[in-house]
Amino acid sequence: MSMLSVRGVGYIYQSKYQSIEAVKNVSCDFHSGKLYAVTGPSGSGKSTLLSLLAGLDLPTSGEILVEGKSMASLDRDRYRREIASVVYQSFNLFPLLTALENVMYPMELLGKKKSEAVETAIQMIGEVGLGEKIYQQFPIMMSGGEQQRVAIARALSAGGKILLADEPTGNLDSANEENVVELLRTLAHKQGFLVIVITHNPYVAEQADEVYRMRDGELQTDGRV
Amino acid sequence: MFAIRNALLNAKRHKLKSILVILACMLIVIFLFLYIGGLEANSRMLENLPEAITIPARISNLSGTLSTGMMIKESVIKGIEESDYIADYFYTAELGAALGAIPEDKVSEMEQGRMNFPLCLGVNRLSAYTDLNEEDVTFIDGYGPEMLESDEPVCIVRDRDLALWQINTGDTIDLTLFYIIYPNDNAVKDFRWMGIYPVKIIGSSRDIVKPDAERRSMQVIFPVKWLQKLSHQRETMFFADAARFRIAKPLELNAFKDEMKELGLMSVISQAKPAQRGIALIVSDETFIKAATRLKENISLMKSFMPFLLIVVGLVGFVVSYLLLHSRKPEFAVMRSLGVSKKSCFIILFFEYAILDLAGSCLGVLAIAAFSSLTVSLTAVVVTLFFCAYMAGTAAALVMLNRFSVMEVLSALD
Ligand SMILES: Nc1ncnc2c1ncn2[C@@H]1O[C@H](COP(=O)(O)OP(=O)(O)OP(=O)(O)O)[C@@H](O)[C@H]1O
Ligand SMILES: [Mg+2]
Repeated sequence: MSMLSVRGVGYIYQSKYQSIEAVKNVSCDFHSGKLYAVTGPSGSGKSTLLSLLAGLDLPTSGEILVEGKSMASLDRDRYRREIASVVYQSFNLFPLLTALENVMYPMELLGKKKSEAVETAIQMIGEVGLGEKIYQQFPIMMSGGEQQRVAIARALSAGGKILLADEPTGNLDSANEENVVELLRTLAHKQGFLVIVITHNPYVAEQADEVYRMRDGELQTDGRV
Repeated sequence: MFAIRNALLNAKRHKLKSILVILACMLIVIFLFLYIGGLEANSRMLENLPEAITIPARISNLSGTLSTGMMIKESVIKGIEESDYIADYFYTAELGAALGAIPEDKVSEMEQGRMNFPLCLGVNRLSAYTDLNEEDVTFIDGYGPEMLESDEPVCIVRDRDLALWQINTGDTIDLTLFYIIYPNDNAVKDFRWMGIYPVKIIGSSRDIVKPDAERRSMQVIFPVKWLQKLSHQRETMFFADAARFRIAKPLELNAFKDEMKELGLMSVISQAKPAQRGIALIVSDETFIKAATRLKENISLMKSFMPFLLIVVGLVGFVVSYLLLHSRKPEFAVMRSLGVSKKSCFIILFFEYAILDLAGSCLGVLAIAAFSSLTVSLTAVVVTLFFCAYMAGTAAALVMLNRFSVMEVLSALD
């Protein structure tokens, strides 16, 4: 069974003056252990689709299934606490928390013991390739790549199965970009995560197991494995 | 648990904002203390006003010209005695008297001469005779001023008259009493023979020579209750000649006045013909009413302003919280994206602000306590009112801020 399946999903932004159909009748499946890339021109609805996959809102039409269960029937806050994590291009971290505290945050939400949380956080920071000196740093003192990796460490620390990333390499130089992409690949292939990455970057798309292309809210499969 | 710890940590991290909130709360609490404290002080003053300002009242004739020498019906005196609204009442009755036994048939000649009898005064207490102080009277052993509150045949005689009549304190003498009537309802007195009574002299009084004295110097003073008893025995009417008292419940002035109306007492009509009947009531309540009215006005003004004030406090809570929280919207968006529910978001931030508000309140209480003494009840009232009003504002701000779409805030950041 696919981890996430999208069935005829549409989404309309309804504002006072106009309504914008950002996602139109999208259907696709996402499996655990794979790295997916979603590409497409600006305004094609990629971020909107990712937010729907994160359960930040419900589709205006169609439905999204999480391991066969309708997203609409789930506690979506809990879904984000326990199953899916989101990483954005910028402002991922709490600016007033240190790197360690940022990574510990989701575990505290889950009510884990502090000593346990510290231990896991240190392990996760290690896994994303960062060292001890980052622990007590605030986001403002870190480089973009470091921030992004701390954000990924935080996404992993809750022990979920899905990682959703919106342009995670958008602000990074190519060296850091490669590091982060490698990290995402490892997570998918070695740890069985379902990783979905939105990207404009052809290099990142190349590294993915599968690429979906979006245009005007519609999905075109590339089918490249 | 997480909410409280997180709230505390957040409060610590946003140091400057936290200090601002605490200061704002402190100032509001101080202001509320002054306001509600003032309100309480006014209420207390109103409560204590009866002790601070007494309201004297007295019976007069209809034109208001007389304070003694009137004819006041016994039913009025009884009504005064029994009223719950009245304390410390004094009344007197004037009589004519002559030393020794003068039979009734000898009197007509004297009456024709309209001679002035020695005057005597029945009192319900020594101090009812306002011209006489207690120090002016010497009692014989075993007797004191309280004898004048009884209905016993006892009397006090002026020193000068003891010498003149060649009698002594402790003696029992025969007195012939004459009651006074005003046949034409004007100041002209008529004395009527009443009877011959043995009376024991229990004390002597100094002669009173006061330029502002209320009445002529009385030669004999006796308990007015005794005179009332005699009148009842003889089945004749008793009249008091003066009555005054203090109002016990000044805050129920109107109920008191209604009761007095039922006794048949009227307000003074200054155009009325001066007469001897004591049927009017003079209440010297201007000072009291002025003070009470001012206090009541103050209190009701302050009270009616109270809800408005609390709304303002709530508004301040709303504005301060809204402004301070607004810049933290992205933080909430990240919280929500990490799976913190709307409710938890609200609780965490509410706790954060509640802690700051309480800290501010405590500082306010301390600041006030440094300058004046505080009662527990006042503190409780102020802090509760402040907290409810202010937190209502904060809650409203939180609800408004919490309504944002996480998707929009997060995509706007990208
Ligand atoms: N909050 C919003 N309200 C109204 N319309 C919106 C909102 N967010 C996005 N849109 C519109 O929805 C469409 C899809 O936007 P979306 O952010 O999903 O595109 P995208 O593919 O992520 O673009 P980009 O590559 O620039 O990030 C666009 O036309 C955009 O203008
Ligand atoms: Mg986007």
